[in-house]
Amino acid sequence: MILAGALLLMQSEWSAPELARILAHEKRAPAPLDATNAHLTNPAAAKLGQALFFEPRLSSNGKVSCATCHIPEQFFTDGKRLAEGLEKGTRNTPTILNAAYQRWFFWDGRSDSLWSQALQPIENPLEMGSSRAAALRLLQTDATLNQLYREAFQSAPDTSDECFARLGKAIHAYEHQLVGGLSAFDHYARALRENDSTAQAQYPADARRGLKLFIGKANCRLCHSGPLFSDGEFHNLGLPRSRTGAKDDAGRYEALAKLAQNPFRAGGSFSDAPQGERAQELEHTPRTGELWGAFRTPSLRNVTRTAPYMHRGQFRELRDVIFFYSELEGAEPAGHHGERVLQNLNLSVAEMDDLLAFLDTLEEELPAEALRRPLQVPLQNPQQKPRR
Amino acid sequence: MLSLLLCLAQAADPALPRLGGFLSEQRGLCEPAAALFGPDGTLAIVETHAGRVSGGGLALENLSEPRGISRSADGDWFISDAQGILVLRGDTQRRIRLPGARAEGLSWTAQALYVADSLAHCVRVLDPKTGNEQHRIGTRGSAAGELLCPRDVAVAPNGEVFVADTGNHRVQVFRADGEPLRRFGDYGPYPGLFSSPSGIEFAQDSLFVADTGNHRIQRFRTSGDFLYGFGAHSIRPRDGAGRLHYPTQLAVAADGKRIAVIEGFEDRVQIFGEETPQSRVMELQNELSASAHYGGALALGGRLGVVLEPESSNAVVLDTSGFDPIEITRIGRFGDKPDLFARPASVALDGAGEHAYFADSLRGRVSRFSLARGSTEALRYDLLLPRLECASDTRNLPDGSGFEPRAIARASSGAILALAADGSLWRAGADLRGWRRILAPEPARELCTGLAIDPASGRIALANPAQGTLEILNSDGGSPTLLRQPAGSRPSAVAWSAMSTLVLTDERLHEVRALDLEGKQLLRIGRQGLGRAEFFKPRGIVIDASGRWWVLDAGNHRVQILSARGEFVHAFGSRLFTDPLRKGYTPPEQPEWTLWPAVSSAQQRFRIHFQASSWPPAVGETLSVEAHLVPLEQITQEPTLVLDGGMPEHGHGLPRDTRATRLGDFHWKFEGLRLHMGGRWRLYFDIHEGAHTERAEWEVVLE
Repeated sequence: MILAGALLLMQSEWSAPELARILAHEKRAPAPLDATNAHLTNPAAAKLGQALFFEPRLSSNGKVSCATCHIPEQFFTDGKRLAEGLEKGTRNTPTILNAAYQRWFFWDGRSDSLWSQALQPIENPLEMGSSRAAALRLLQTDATLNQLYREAFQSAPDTSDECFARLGKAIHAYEHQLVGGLSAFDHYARALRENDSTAQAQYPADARRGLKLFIGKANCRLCHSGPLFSDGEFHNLGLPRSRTGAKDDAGRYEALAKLAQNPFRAGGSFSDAPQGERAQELEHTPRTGELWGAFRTPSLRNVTRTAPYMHRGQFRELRDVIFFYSELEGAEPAGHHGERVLQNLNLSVAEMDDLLAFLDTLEEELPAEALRRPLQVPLQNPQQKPRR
Repeated sequence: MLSLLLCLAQAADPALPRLGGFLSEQRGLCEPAAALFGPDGTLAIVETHAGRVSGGGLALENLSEPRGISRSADGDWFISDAQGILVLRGDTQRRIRLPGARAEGLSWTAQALYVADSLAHCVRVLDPKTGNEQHRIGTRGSAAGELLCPRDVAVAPNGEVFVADTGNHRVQVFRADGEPLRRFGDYGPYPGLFSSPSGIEFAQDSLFVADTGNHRIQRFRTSGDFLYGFGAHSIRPRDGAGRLHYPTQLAVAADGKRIAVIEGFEDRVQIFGEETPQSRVMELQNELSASAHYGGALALGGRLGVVLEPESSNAVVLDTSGFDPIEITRIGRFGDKPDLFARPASVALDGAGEHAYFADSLRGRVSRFSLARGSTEALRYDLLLPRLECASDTRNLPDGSGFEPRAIARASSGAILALAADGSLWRAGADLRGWRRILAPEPARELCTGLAIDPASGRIALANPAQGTLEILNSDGGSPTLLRQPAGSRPSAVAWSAMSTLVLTDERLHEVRALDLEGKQLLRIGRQGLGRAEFFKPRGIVIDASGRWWVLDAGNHRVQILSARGEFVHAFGSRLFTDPLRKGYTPPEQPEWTLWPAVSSAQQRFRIHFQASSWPPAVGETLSVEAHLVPLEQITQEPTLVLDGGMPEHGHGLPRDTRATRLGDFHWKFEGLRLHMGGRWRLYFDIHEGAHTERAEWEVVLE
C-alpha cells in the first residue's frame, strides 16, 4: 500500500486506490501448505499421487481416472456442462489448477482439504463407482503402486481407512504442484509495481479497460478478490432454476451437514492437524438457511479456458456469464433473508468485450509437461503393459 | 416476497397420490385454526375468534379461544382451548385443565394424547383416558431437543413424535419417551426450509407441513427427505383459488386424496385434491409481489414512524413528515444476535423519534436502537441509520425473575412498560435497566395484545381481544377498571387521545371505536372491506401529534390515516391493497409552506417552517417573516411564538423588536425584522408554552 502510494505520482493512468486494488490481485506467494497433510511436500508421495491421478483401475469399470474429467491439456477440466464418469454427474468439473490455494473444495464446499476431496470421487457411483476396499487392494496387488506407496510412507499398504486417507494425501501432494505460471495480468501488475513502462505497454488497451471495469463499475472484485480472484466463500447468485427438471441443489447448506459427518475432514482422526486452523474453520461455520443454494466463488484464473460455467455448467460461454451479471435476466428472487450482492450493471456491448479481453489475460502457463502425464516409471516386468 | 412453487418430485410415494390441485374453498369463517375430517367425511372446523367448532357432526359454541382438534379411534373428540382440553364422548363433555399452557395442535394415539404447548415450549404427553400429564417432551430453546413456540404435533405410524417447532423454523422428531431423534429444516424460502411451520399432519407414512410464512404446503418422508410442495403465494387481496396466504394447519382425509388447508388470516379453508395438468396451481413467474407485509405493530415519534413486518422479522422505518410516508431504513432481519429478531411483536418510539424500542416475544428480549442523526438535513434512504444501543434479555433478569415481552409502550417520563405473556406488567428505565414488576401475573390478562400509556396522566390501557374488554389502570398498575365491549368484539389495540379518550381497533368487527373513560362510545367507524375507512383485522392504532388516527389495517397489509373524526385522510402500504383506496381520489393539496426551509427546536419538540419577504437580506433592509409551527410531540395547548435575534460577538440584539401577528392555528407573521450590520447574526424563534420555553435558532452571515 505504501509502495502504491509512492507510485501515485508516476502512474497517471491509475489512481492510487485503483493501483492498490490491481496489485492486490497479483499472484506473488506460492500455495500455502495444508497442515492436515503431513506428506504434502514429500516427493515420493507426490509420485504416488501422480500415478494414481492417471490410474483408471481406481474405477469399477477400469476406464475412469481423475484425469478423465480433469484433463491436463484442457486446464484440468473436460469442457462439458456436467462431469461424466461412469454416468453423467450433477455438477460441472472444476479445475485443479491452483486448487492448492483454496480453503474449501467442490462447488458446495463439502471438503475442507484437497486430500479428502480426492477420496470422494472414488466411491461416488456417478464418478468412479468403486470402493475404498477395491482401491486399497489395487495398491497392494499392483507392484508399481505398491512400491511407490512404500517409498512414500515407509510402510506397506493395507485395507485400513488410514491407508485410504494416505491415498488421498498422495494425490494431494501431486496436485499441490499443479500451479499455473504467471499470467499476462501478473506481468502487467508487476510492471506497474516496478514502474517498468516498457513492460506495461505490452498489456493490451482493451484488457486495461476491462480491468478498470473489473475493479470499478462492474465491481467483480467484491467476490472475485485477491490473487486467486476468489474470496473463497459461498454465494447464491439467484441463477435461473433448471428447466430440465433436475432436483434443486441445496449447495453449501447440504454440504456442511455432509462435511460434519465426514471422517476425513480436517478435524477428523485422519487429519495430521485436527486442532489446526482448517478444523477451526468448520467448527465456526454455522449451518443456516442462508447457505441454501450457495456455491463457492471459483477462481477466475484461466477462466477463458474452463468453459462451461457455474455449478451446473449453465452458461456455455463466458459472454453469457457476463450478460447474466449485467442484466440479471431470469434471476431468482432471494427471499427475505437472501443476500443482495448482485445488482444490474447494464454494461454496454463494448464494456462486455473489454471485460472478456481482461479475463483473457488471466490465462496462465500450464505446469511442467512432466506433471501433465502419467508417471513415467521404468518397466519392472517386460510383460507389464505401459500405462496410457 | 415471492414464494417458490416446487414442481418436481423425487420418486413420489406410490401409495399416495400427488396432492396440490385446487378443488374448493370455504370463506367467511372466523379465524379458523384447525380442522379434521369427521366420520361423515365433512370437515369439523375450529374457529378461534368465534369460539366454536362446527361440521363433522359437531356443534360447539362459547368456547374460549379454541385452537386444535383431534379424534380417537373410538370416536372421542379432543379440542384444545384457553382452559385446556375439552373431551367429547357421545353427548358428555369433560374438561382437562392445563394451567400455564397454551394448548394448540393435538394428536391422539392409543398410548397417549400429545398436546403442543406454545407457552411452555414443550409437548405435553397426557394419558388418553384420564388426561393426566405423564411427562413433557422438549424444553424451551433452540438446541437439539429444545422447542420454541411449537404449534402442532403429529405421531408417525411407527410411533415417532413429530413436532412443528414453529419458532425454530424446523420439524423435530422425538421418540415417544421424549428422546430427541433428529430434526430437519431451517429458516428460509427454499425447498425443505421453513418459515414458522405451524401445522403438521401424517398421511400414511409421509408428512405434510403447513409452511406458514412461505405460504405453501411441503411434503416429506418421515426421514426428513423433501418430496414436493404446493401452493403459490396469494398476491391480490383475498386471492384464493389455490393461492395461499399464511396457511397454518392441515387436515388430510383418510383416503389420502384430499387435503384441507386452513388459513386463519384469510378466514378461509381451501381443499386440494390430486394434482392434474388441469388443476395444477401455476407457478409464480416474476409476478408483482405484495411489496409490503405490514402487520405486527405501529409506532410514531418525531418525524418517524415504525411498522413491523413479522414475516420478514424486520421493522420498516418511515419518514412521516411529508404527506406520503417514505421508507428510509429497515431494522433487523431473522437471527439470534442482539440486533436481529426472532419475532418482533411490538415497537415504541420516543417523542423525538430518536430511539426505537422493540419487544421480541420469541427471543425474550427488549432492544433499543438509535435513529438519531447529527445533521438536520432531509432524511434519505440510509441502511446505516439504525444502531443497536442496548438490549435486555428479559427472561433472565439479575434478580432471577423474568418474563416474555408481548407488548411495550413508552411513558412520557421515558420509562418503558412491558406487558408479559403471563399477564404481568413490568417497567424499566429508558436504558432498559432495572426491570421491576408492577403488576402480578393474571390469567385473564394473558391474552392481551394492546398496551398504551396516556402521555398526560401516565394511565395504562390494555386491549384484551379474548375477553372482549379494555382495561384501564393507574400509572402504577393499580385501580383496574374494565370496559366491556359489545358482543362479538375483539379489541386488538388501543391508544389514548389528547383529550383522554380511548381509541381502539376491533379485529373481529373490523372497526375503530372511540370511547370515553366511562366506556361510553363516542364514535364508531369502519366495516370489513378494502375501501376507505374499511378494514380487515385491524391490529394497531397510534394517534399522532395532530390528533389523527393511524390505523394498522393488518389484514390488508396497510396503514390508514384517519382524521380525529374518523374521516379517511390517506393510506400507505402494500400497493395492491392501497390501490383500491386511490381510484378517483385526489390527495389534498400539500400546503406550500411545508416546502419552506425549516428549523427545529433544541429539544426537537417543534419544527418551524418559515419564509422571509427577501432572503438573504441586505444590510439594513426591513423584512417580514411568515412562519408555521409544527409540533412534533403531543402538546396540550398552542404555544405563542416570538422572533428575535442578535449578534453575540458584538453583544447586542436586533435594532427593534419584531411585531408578531397570529394568522391562524400555528400560523404567525412577524414584521419589522432588520439586520442593521454586516457580520454573524444569530436569529431564533422562541416557543412559549406556558412556563416552558424552547428555542429554535439558526445563523446568517451578512457582508
